[in-house]
Amino acid sequence: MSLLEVSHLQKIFTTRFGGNQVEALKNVSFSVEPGEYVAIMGESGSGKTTLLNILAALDKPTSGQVLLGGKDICEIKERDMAAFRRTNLGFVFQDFNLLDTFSLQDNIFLPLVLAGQEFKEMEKALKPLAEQLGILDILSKYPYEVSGGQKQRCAVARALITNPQIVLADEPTGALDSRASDRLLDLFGDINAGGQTVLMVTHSVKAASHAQRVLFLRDGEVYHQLYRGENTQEQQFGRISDTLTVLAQGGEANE
Amino acid sequence: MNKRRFYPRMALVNLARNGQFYLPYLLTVMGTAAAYYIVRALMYTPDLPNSTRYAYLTMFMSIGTFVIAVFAVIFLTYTNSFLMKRRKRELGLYNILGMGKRHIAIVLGFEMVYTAAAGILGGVLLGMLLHKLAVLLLCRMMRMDIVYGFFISGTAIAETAVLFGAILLFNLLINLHRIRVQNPMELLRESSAGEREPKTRYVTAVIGVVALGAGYAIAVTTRSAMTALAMYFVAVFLVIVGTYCVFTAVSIAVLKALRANKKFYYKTDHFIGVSGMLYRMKRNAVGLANICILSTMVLVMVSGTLSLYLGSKSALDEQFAGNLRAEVRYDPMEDQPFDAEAFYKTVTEQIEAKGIPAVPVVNYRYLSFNVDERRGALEVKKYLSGASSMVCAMASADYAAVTGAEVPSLTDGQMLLFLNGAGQSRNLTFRFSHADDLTLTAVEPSPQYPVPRAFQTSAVDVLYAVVSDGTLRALYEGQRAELGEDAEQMQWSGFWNADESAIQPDDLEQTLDFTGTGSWSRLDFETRDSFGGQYYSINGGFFFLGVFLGTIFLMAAVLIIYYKQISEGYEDRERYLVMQKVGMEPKTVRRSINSQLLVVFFAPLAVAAIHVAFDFSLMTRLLTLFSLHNGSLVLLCTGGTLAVFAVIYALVYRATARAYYKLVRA
Repeated sequence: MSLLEVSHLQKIFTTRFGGNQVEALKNVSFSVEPGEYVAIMGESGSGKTTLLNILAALDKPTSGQVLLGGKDICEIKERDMAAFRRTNLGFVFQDFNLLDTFSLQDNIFLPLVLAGQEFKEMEKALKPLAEQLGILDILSKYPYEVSGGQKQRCAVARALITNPQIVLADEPTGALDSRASDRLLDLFGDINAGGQTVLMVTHSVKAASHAQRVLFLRDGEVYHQLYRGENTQEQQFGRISDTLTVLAQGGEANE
Repeated sequence: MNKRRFYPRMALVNLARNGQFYLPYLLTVMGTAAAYYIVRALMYTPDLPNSTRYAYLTMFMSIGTFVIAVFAVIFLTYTNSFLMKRRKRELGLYNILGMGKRHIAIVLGFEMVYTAAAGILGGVLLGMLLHKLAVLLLCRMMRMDIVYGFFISGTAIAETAVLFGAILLFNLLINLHRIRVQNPMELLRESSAGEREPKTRYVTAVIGVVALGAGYAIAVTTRSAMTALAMYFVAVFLVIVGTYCVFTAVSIAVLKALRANKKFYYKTDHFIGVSGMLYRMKRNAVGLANICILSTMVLVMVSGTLSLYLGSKSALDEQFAGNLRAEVRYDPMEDQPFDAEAFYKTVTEQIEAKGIPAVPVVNYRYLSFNVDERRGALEVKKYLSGASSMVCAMASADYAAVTGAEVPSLTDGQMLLFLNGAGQSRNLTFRFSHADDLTLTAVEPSPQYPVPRAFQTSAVDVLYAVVSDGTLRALYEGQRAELGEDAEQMQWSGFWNADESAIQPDDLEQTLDFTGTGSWSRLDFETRDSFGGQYYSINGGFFFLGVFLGTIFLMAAVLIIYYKQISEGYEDRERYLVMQKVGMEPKTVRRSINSQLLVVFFAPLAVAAIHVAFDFSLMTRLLTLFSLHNGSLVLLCTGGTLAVFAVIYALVYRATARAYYKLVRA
């Protein structure tokens, strides 16, 4: 059974004073298997963020269904929503969203504290994770004292520490320089190799080329998908670039 | 667009857009200007009768003028700098978008002109409206016979305009200076830069604790009103310093200690609460200390003056056993000494002969003089100093008359001793330089002998000694030999209940025939009413000033609270959004906001209440200078003031918390 099943998702935004309607998602269907590493690509306005918000249960679709582990996330009651998000989903944001009031360690602990865990267990969970992410020696520092790459790795640790079913990453390399991006993407690869399911939204070809599968979103629909298979990352990079070129040209031809 | 009209328009738009901050500021300008106008106008009340009772009014209003003017300068400057800090980013943006610093200065100038015009005009109008109310209140409190009508004082208007114009101009100059020295890029970056975590400043924390402890110690250990008066401002200064240090340093030390306790810290509520407070303490500690000190001032002022005012009646009761009093000072060693019995009798008869019924109530003699305690003995002194106490000696028969108890049988050298409203069993030794020491042995206190009513008001501890006639004479001679020319005389007081309205005290002294009553050096008649009038014009004036200034300080505290809520609302908003994204329940968000706000806002109130509690004994001492000896009344007034203040504070909190929630939830 798939871990995540998205079927016939539609989302229509209505502007505040009625009038204009914008169809952000037309008809999106795909599924993610356990342990998969999927990237969703698309240009600005293609519906990436809307899709991610719905997957994160931050927004509700107009129609369609999202099943996570066989459970319809749209059916979850409002008051259970926060707990659901906390235990099943891990988030990595473009702008890190670390809190200045907490040290990095406390930022990572935040979801566990919200879940009411004991300090000892938290510490136990953090140790191997911090080692893997290379943030062991900066844990006592504050977000404003470390670099962007370090911040993002801490944000990854915060996402992973709850052992979520799926990690949702929204442009995780968007605010990083190329070296920090490479390091982060390698880490995502490692994490995925350890069995963690990852769904990443990005418009960086490089970021997408690390994934096992790339979905192309355009005008609110899944337009195309590309499996990496046995290709190296460099080969995959080329294939994605080609696809994007075709997509762009084809898009113009279609109109 | 026409350039000349651009700047005024822009200034107006700026004020409107920052209305959330500028409206309260404008109201503050108006409020303080109104208060200033009122005290000035009261001072210039036309046709003020020339008697001393009305002279107090002018005195109280000049105190009020001074306090309000100083307060206005400090508080408006403080508020202005807060507003400018909030607008740093906006002004930096104008600069980057191409407005020169000169143009920004023009806009700021227009803004200040608008603020001044609206604030001063509105303030004077508001002042005129409330003036009548103030007059009514004042006349009632000071028990004045004449209630003044409505009048407008041109001088007061001019003075208000000049003072507030000057303050706002001063603020404008500060703002312009700030603009001139600042770099626009810095301005832009300023608010987005991460705040450093506050450092624990151990030295400050220690200074705070020590200062606060010393201030409290002074308040608690001071036993005489004279010392209290001398030390009061030292204590106040220490407590203010202590309060600032406690809020800025001790709070952070405590929060860090809480954070170090892992078991405590890593619980949802504590986790968010402690870290949040630690973060906001840095910026808000001074604001909280300000709120705390303002609150303490309001509480002390209002409760003190309220006690005085309400205590007037009991203080009068204490001094007037009947509503007509005669006081005589005399030397019992003269050839024909004052004959109290004959005097009391003849005065009663003569007043009744005038057709005014006069019922004798009580009469007694006593001797009082000041002493310093040195090397276990009491030395007679003419003037009071900090270490002095007062001895008040009376014969056993007079004690019986005053208290209604049986006449205690005392031999020479024995006494009944009372101090601080309780019988004492310690002995007293008087040391005279020209005679042998005189030691009085105390008879064990017994319920048979009640404490005499305090008929001698004093700022220091009074040792009431009931002694035999012989011992009283020995004390009299002893202090007379010691003080010579300045020696105290015996005093006699007699009381009647008579129709006060029919009696002119001065007339009695002139018209009565005192032959056959011996000689005396001084005689005073006084009715309760005429004496009470003086009393109320002082205590009522104080009370009015207390309430008036209290209201203004309260307004200041409210404004600081409001600004805190609003500015924190903006800061906390993003933090809570992030926390919700990583799985914090909205319910938890609300609970955590609530508990944080409660702690942060009620901490100043709690500390203020502690200050007032420690100040209580000091204030009770000080109030004895105004002949208020009723400790339980002071306690009641303080408690009542605190309760009313807490209710107002809670209401303000609720109203401003709503503004905060709106910001955080949006």
